[in-house]
Amino acid sequence: MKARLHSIGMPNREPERPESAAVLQGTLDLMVLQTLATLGPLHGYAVAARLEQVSGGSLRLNMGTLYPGLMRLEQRGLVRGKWGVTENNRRARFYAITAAGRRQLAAERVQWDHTASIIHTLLREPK
Amino acid sequence: MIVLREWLSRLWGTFRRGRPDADLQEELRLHLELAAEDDDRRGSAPDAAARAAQLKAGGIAQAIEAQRDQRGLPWLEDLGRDLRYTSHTLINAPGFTIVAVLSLALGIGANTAIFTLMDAVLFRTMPIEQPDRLYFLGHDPGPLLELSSNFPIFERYQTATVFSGVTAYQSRTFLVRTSEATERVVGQYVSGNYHAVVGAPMALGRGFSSEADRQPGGSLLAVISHDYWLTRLGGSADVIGRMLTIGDRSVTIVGVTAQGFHGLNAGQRLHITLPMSVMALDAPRFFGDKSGWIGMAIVGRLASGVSEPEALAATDVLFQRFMQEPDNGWARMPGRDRFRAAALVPAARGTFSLRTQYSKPLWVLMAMVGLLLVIACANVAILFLARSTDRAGEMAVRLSIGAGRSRLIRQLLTESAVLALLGGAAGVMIAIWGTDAILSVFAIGPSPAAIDATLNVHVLAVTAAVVFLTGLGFGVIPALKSTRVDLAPALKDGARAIHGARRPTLGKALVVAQIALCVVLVTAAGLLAGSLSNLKDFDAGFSRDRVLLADIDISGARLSPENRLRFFSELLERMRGMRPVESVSFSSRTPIDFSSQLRRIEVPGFEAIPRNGVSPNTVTPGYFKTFGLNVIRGRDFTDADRQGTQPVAVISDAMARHFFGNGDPIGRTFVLGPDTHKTFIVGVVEDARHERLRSDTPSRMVYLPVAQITAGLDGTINAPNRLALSLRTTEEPAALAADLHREVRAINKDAMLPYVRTLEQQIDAALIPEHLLSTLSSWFAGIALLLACVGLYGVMAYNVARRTREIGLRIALGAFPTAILSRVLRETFVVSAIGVAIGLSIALAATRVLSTYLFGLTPDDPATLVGATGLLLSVALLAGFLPARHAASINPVGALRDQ
Repeated sequence: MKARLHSIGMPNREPERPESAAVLQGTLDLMVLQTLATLGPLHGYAVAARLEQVSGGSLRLNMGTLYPGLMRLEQRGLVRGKWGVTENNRRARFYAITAAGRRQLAAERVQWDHTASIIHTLLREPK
Repeated sequence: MIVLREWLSRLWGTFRRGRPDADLQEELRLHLELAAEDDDRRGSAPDAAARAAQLKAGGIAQAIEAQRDQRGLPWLEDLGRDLRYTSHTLINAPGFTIVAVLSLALGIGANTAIFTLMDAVLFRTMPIEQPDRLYFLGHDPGPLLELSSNFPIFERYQTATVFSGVTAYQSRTFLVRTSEATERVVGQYVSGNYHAVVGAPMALGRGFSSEADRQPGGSLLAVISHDYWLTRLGGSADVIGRMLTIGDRSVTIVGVTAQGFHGLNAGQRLHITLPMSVMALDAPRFFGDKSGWIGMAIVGRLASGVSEPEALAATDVLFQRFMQEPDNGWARMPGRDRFRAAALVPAARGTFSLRTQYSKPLWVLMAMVGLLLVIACANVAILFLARSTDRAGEMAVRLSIGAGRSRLIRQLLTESAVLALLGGAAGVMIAIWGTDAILSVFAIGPSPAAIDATLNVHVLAVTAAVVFLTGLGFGVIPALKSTRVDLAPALKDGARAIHGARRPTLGKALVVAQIALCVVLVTAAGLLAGSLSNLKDFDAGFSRDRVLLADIDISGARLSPENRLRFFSELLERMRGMRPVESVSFSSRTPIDFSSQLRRIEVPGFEAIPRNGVSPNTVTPGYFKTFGLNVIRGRDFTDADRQGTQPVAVISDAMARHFFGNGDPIGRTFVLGPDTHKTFIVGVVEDARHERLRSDTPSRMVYLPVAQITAGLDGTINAPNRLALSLRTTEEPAALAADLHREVRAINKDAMLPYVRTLEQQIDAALIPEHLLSTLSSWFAGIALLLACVGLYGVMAYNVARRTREIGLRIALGAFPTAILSRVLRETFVVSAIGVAIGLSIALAATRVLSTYLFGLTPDDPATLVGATGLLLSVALLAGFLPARHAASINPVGALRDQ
């Protein structure tokens, strides 16, 4: 990754994103929505920890991927973020899935199952 | 929907309405803490745990940056920042900004103004239904193309099924009487289906729909224009049903056409439309008149699914059949090269005479303003280049601390875009003012072309495109160039870096191009101005100065033929008595009055064919004196030449030579069609360019006395209702106009003077294209010269600034200031001489297109070329003098210490 440099008085924005973003684009939304739907409101770290746990440690989310992703979901009205307090009495921002988020999740799940079954059939085809 | 919501939210976030950075930071910090605690729990040392967490989760700074990008719209934020930065730099360099914006404003303004005219005259379609399906049914395609027809052929065309409707109109001037005055108004008689076929939009009431044409007086109705309704009838809502008195008849207003609709004659402001059945009241025979074309225009709307060639084929069949009808023998006269085929002419933009007349001048002007815009762009590019020296240090600093080159180019292009937009806005202002000024050139003559040259969406779209292109045009190269900085020396020397290897060739190339284009414009302007002055000075045979002309129309007074003659002779007497009047006369035509006539003449030994035709003018005694024409042989007319005496004529020298060679024409006779009596030649008068200034040979004129005009066989007097009065004065002729008005009204209050002008003004009206070209090209050449000067000055000043140390060193080593001065001037001279040389060769090739508008000189007129060269070189040296003087006055100590 190229080093980011900032010039004086003028931000230097190269149109680059963290590498993992490309891999996860699209599926990240689905995973986050599903996590929030099953476990209820969670803060960002809890979402990341859950995904890491479910994937057996192979899915490690960079903050630069996770938080812009959450922000995008929030901007789209699929989740709602609210400051709250953790069980250890720490201030944290909790994200909850909204009604629109559940509808989107349902739609995307159907889509995903459909795609997956096609891929599955294709790959299992006798040579 | 969902995505739209995200974008709205980001747009919101752009204006700092999203979550604040502190909020984001707190969230991220918690993430790291929790991650570290988790690692800690798994047994790592606290420090190592934190580091591991940080490593795994990525840096806070990067995450915040990614979130900021997601929060708002980064490009919009950048744009806002660029705009703020640009406004600072532009305000901090007011000289640069003003010169750049003015250059662009002049270039863009001139383009917008000319394009506005082109749009109004050449491109805009009539505000009617499906204009592209409407066609004029004319005849004789090619150079003889004409739209004039008559009623019988219109009736034949109406049977054609290739048209969904065919209609006809005949333009007329109506005399509208009100209790206060009588006014002449542009009008037309139309066939009953006119408004339906043309698809004319109505503001109020209805158009004619099915009024029968052959029903004299059956429908005394009128449709008026929106303008007429507003200006003459106060725009009142109850105008429908009101009466208008036109001529001797009352007609009922049934409709008002929508704003912008002025009939199909381009350049004419049509106000009153009457049905043809009203025309039949005065001229009942025109329905069956097949003796020639009477100026009726026929228009048809293609039936759906019919193509233009199909319609033309069907129309031509009808046309051929009509021309073969037994009583159309005139169409088959020997020597006629006409009436061969029907022609369909698209009517979407109305009649074509205005377009034919102005299409070439407008394209020539468009080419000129195009060059002007290139010069203006070059100017701004030069300014940018010159400024890039000042900013080399700034650019180097930015690049070295990591600003991307593309980001810097975007910043510089924002600057040029802002300048282009400012220039465009100011240019539109200039165009609004300029279009009015240009239109005033058109607004002369008896029926000035009405051109609706208001800015509209088309024009603004074109201007916007021009602005965009100019912004790119002058912005890209300097932006690319100034961001390619050799960092090390630029940083070391700051703004005063000496780029020894990089000479300012680009700037000089731009100046050479500017000067070359400038030479083209100046040469063209010189040729056009020279031609106009040649046209004005050249001896057309008649003397032009101190003559007042006035059309006198007494049709509104309803006088008997005898009383009409009495009216004219009384007016002659009254005017003759006035002190400054040298001579006074009446005539049916005056020199260069747009009229053109060719009459059949029977002279023993000559065939009566158009090639032997003559041009008639009926005059009173004194006409030759008024226009300074000498009688070469025989005598002038006298008051004794009147009704009942021998019909006499005075002929022009050209006519005498054509028919009688070197023999004596006095006493010979001829028969002038359509008369049948013999006319005796009593005198020969000098030739004059009576019809056209530019004609190579003077027309063959035959002059007849007004008092002897008779109507056909019975020999009764047919005194005209309208004659032109000509007054030769000893003082300024225009001063007499008020006296003339008073005297005319004193004799008869219903007499009208629709057009009073001096002979000079009348000639000017015939030279509108030449005036337009000459005036505008002079303006454009002047602007181009100014811009090129600024460009040259910019480049030389930049050059001197760049070499301050070198020049300082030279002076310190003993160079005389005059040597420095002449060195810089020599450089200026070389640059401009190259430009002039290139420009002259382009001009020699390009000015050929002007040859139709030139008079008395050729496109390679040496005087003009030498003049343009001299002008350009002297102006260039003037522009180069200031930087040269500055160079000579450089203080060596200061210059060297600053380095």
